[in-house]
Amino acid sequence: MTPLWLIPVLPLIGALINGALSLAGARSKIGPNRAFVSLIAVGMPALSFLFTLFAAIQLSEYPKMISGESVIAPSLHPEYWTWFSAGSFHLSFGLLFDSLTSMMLLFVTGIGTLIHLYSVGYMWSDRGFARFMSYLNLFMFSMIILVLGGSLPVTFLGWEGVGLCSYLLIGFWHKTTEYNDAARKAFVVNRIGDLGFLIGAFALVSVCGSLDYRDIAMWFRNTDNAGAIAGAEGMIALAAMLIFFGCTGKSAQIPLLTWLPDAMAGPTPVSALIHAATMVTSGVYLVARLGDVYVHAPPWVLATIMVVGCLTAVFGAVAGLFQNDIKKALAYSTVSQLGFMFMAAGAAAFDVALFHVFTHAFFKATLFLGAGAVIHSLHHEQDMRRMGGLHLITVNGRKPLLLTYAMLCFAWFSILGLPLGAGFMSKDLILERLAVGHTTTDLGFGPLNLSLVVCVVGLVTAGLTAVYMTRVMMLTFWSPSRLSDEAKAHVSPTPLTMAIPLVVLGVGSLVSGFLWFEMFNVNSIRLDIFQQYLAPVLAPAQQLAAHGETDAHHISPWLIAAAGTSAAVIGLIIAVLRWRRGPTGASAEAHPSSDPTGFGAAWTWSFDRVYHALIVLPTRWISLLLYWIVEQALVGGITYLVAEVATFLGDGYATLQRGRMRASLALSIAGVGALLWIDEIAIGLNAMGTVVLRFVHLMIG
Amino acid sequence: MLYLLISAPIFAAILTCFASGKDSDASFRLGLVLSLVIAALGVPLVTGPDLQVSIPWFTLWGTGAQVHLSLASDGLSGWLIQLVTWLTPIAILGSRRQAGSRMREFVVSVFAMEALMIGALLARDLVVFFVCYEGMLIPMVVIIAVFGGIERRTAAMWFFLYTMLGSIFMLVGIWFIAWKMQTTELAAITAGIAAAFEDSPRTMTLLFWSFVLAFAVKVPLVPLHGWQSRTYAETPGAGVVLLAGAMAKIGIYGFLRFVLPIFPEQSAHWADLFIVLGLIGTVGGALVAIAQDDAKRMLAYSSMSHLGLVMVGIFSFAPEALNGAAVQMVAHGFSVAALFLLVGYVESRAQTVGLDDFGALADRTPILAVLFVMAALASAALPGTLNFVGEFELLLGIFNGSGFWVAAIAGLSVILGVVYLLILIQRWFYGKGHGASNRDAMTDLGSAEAIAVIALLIASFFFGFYPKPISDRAGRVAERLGAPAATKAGRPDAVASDAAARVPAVSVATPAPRP
Repeated sequence: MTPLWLIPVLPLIGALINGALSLAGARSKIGPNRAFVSLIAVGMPALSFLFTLFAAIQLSEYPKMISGESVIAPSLHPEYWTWFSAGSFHLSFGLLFDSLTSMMLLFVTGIGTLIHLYSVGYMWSDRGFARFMSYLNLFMFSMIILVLGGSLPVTFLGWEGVGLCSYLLIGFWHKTTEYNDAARKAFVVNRIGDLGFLIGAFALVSVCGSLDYRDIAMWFRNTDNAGAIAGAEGMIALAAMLIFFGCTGKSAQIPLLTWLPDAMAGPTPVSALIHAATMVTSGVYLVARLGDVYVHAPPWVLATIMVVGCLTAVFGAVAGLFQNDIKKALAYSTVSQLGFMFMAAGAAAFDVALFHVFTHAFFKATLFLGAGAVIHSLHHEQDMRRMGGLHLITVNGRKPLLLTYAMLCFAWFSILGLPLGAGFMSKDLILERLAVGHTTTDLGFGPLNLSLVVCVVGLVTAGLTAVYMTRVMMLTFWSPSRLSDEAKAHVSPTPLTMAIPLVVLGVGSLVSGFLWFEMFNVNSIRLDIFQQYLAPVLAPAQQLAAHGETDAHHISPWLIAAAGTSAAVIGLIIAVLRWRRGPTGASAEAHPSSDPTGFGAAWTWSFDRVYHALIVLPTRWISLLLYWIVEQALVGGITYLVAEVATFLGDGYATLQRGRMRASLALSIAGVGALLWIDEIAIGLNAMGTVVLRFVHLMIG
Repeated sequence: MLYLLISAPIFAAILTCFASGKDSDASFRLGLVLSLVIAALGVPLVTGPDLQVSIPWFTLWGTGAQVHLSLASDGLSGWLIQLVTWLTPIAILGSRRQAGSRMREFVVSVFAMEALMIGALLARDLVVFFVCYEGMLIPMVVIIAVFGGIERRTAAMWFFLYTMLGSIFMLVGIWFIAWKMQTTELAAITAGIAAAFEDSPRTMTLLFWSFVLAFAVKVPLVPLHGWQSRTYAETPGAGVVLLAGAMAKIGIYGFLRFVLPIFPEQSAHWADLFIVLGLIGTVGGALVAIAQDDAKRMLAYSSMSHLGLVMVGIFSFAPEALNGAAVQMVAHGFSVAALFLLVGYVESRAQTVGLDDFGALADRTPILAVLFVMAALASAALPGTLNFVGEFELLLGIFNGSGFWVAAIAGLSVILGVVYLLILIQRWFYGKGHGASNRDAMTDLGSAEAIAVIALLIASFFFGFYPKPISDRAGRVAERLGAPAATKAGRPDAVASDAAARVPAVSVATPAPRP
């Protein structure tokens, strides 16, 4: 029996050790021994990865479990202790390890370990090395709990934990006010989503009485509950929408996407691990995990998810076109790709959505790590207008950025969706599922096949993806160099700790797509390991959503592949033609900041501006008004008045007491005597009370 | 056993009086050891069985009602007493710098307060309760007036006035009940009050309000919160630990122990009003906290926000929320005590707790920074802390009992709670340093200071993962106490076995009610 609890606890131990070391060495000049810190920090997630592997092997030996009429996937599901026990609500602190968990956990711990290794090189010379590693390990703990949690509250523990680590890591360089503001914004925006998560969970409790994932799945799959499900349609919709609202916070979808571009203030490994590969995809994971809830909710819920994903994908892709900061461009790209994942989830193609999560983790992590290597070599230069021709730079007879360049090319090839890259496989699957989807809507002029519309928009967005990604490559590499000779001479090589993860992930972004290659169907050998692996968990919900029409292809996969490839090629050609000479428009010198420029620059920030005007400022004003008018003037004023009267009375009584002790004693006795007439006093009070009560009744109806 | 527990702090206070007034270290050590012994004495209340004792005390003048020195402990009293007895050594531990040469006076006041708080929590006789409840004020006012800030006299007076004004009505109410029912024992009153006042519902309503007023001031419930921010701002950090951490809880305890069981019908009738007031406190308190530039005031309003949520939960009458209310009382005790201790440490060094007076303290005082961030996270109810358990249960209950909108509005405090705490953290610990003289005065925590906070944080995180001892004992009692009111409010899932709350715990010969 693999001890599942070790998988999250190991990185937690690492975080505690490194946190203690960092605190102990806070006042010394050098800080704790970096080799030891690195060993702990990389070793613990690596061990977690190993234990995940053991657990996955053990899982594959489990038979299917049948309980009642509903079949749920085989799983390891230890329960450790009672967490909640209030009223009729009971919940154990339990974990759940089924094939969905195992897939997520393998790539979270695997890619996580690689990025820890990368961070050793990237952050080596930073003053807060141990602190950084401690936060990263804490993040691994939270992320593992998020994925491994057996119920919504346990997942929520990880959910808020990753939010906290995100906050700590975005604001890691806490001398800079903008970074701190970005960190705070990320936390608060995520908390807004978290409230949705919580109340959605409460709604789910009132539907099926439990928050345990297995209980929820069994309850929804139990045909005896069909009547109850139909009766609770509104509540299910509420739960599904609120939990999805929580996902828009964590996964940076409209309307809560504004924190992610700002989050690029954090060190680049953070952007790669948290804000590209793992944390931001947890919203997709949660929707897939609660697939049963979503397919039983009214159809408009999934349609909303699809449309939100589609709009976010378009917004992210267009915004990505106008970024000058290489990390911001990649951030908007992440927003856009997450939109693709939600498009698939909205079409109830949860396995495809997760496949895109999987491939995206490889190519986006590669892109960020490559960008990090570039930034590292250029000594914290992030403005693409000051790059160009980087792969050709020669220092001491070697080309320090050549390897980075090659890996970035792999990832670029993959994200564009050029044939046989990982992105090609997963993006084509999304478009295909959308093309055969059933989601219809009626906007007043007859039924409209919504999923087909979303599919076409997705195709255009795939073209836009090709434009902005090729632009990034053009500005960084395939254009005349804009580096000063001095800067060129100081370009530093990429250390080995950074190169190894880069190569592994770069190669992964080429080959990881072959886990599910729909078109490969030779001699009835199909490459759909990924789908088959997740099927026990996801298939029941998906089949229900597809109304039993499994594998009914109304459209040739070749057609989608051809359309997707042409979109990518067209986008590529446009970008090459436009940016082959380097940046266009205002030059870097005129705008030294890395803010976006060009036509879309103003509305890239539109969300921020609208929210600032509609939410942030009013909150600030209301809080000030409440404080000064209600608290200080009203409550304060009345209290002062009462205090003055009391002081007057008190002084009067005091003088009385000083003078005539006996008289005051007599007064006290008289007071007690008055108390004896309580009946009369009560009648008087009663009459007063009646008036007050009438008034209150009038006020509250 | 229960008498021993009440008298132990009194003996401790007397003993400390004989300590040398000059050697403040001696008082500190004596106080620490004695308070730890008392805390250890109190532990069986939550590990062992429920206890009860009762002996006749005196006859209440003018009523003929026999006052019993009637004490009992159950899960709810037991856990709140843990809060009191463990916060006492922590307050002493954290006060070393602030109390300075007047350590002895501080320790004596703290012990006096501890005895009276324990008494109030154990009392099952209205007169005994009232004596302890009022008596608590005196040592607290002494602490404020002697150890407080610049405006300590005004603060002390405001505090005293507000609470006195609130309690006077309760005194009249208790007296009237005693006169009418010929008893002051809680169990007998709970069982018989409906019959005794059958023909005068108006009187019942008046009595209800006389109790409510006294407890609402202490919680505090909007609009009776005027004393809070000023008192907290002027009281030394170690004093606020007891004031906010333990004493304010007795207001909520009063609602659970007295108002809901004695007046179930009135509570159900007025529930919506209290929910609205609680919501105003929850959201308004958090909003006002954002506008503060003084850490103590900010935390005072934060406290008002959190306890407002507890009030909403109690008056939603859902068993989950009542359970959560009990859990949240303990949780908030831990977190608010930790925060005020830390703020007190800052104050004792720099003589200011303004938000703009420091900056970049994370580099200068890393241990303070780490502990502060952790305490703030506990206060913001991050999962894994006890506050999360309390808030989750409260909101779940509010959703079940009062519906989506009330839960959504109450939940706004989840968002606003991190807004002001993150502002505080950013302005104190991050960014660039300003206020050079204040910053220079800042030294990192000593080990005694750090231990006091770490103990609280460990408790918060341990019970955050394993809240069963609290929710099973304190929470279930709260569910039972709220059950009669829940039934009156027509809640179908009210705890069925409310017998324990209704049947007299001690068999006393209840005299026939006065006609």
